[in-house]
Amino acid sequence: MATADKHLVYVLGHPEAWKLLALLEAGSQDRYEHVRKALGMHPQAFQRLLYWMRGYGFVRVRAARPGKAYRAAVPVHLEMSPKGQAMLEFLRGVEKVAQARRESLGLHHAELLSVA
Amino acid sequence: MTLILLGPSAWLHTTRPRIPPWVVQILPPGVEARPGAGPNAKDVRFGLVARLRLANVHATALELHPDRTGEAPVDKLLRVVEDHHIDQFAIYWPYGAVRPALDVEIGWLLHAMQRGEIPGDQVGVFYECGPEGHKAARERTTADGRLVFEALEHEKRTTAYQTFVSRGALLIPWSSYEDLFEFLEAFGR
Repeated sequence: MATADKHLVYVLGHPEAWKLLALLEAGSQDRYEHVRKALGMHPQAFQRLLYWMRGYGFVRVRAARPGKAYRAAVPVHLEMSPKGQAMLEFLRGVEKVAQARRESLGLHHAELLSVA
Repeated sequence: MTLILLGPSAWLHTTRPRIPPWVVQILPPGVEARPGAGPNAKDVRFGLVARLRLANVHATALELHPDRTGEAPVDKLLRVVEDHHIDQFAIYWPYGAVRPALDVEIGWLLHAMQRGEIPGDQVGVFYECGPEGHKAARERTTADGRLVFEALEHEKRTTAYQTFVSRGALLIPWSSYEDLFEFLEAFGR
């Protein structure tokens, strides 16, 4: 069963989740492959990432043009949710604190929220 | 915030899904487990609602509210939605279920979405996309690389589910009942 913070634990433990949120902040995406390649992930790992990030409500897949009727397949896109935006802002705070800590220790700075 | 779990009540006669025992181990007050037979789709919804309540998510199902004499199904639905301040609509879409009894709920919800009374982000379509071939729907890439959603259960009255999607409902795939429960919990908070 889920614990209250399981979604938070998931995101904190998956750097690619940070990058996905940072990537989607720029706007919705209608091509999975572009997103996957930008994150540099294996297709199966990428599908698992999306599965959990959607399930926890950080990103969402919905109609690209809501209201338009389709008889067969519905064009959809990937976008960040308000919950995902809030998580991204939290992660930026975490990153800021971590960066200050790294600098005080003289450690190399790993930019978890940058996307190639 | 209150979530209503809509969806089917029975399985097709050709379908016998494996439901983990925990799903129906706890049921809402007043609901009795049916002896002998395996859980039907309504039992599963009731079990999920009971678990969500234990997790402090306000959740209900239409059938948990008694019918009133002379009340039409759509009037009952409106009464429950208003009385319980329902603002999250979760559609449970397992593979291989019977859907003829869904017409009132689906029709009302689609109409409310069309009128803009219920935004798409308050409607979640939770479709089964299991590892054992039990796929109610899928998302696939077209030849030009774009992403589309389509139902895979053809001629099983799932067209309305695609209409939810085309009107902006959120698509949430699940591959186990453990995951479904977690995703419903996240949706209902």
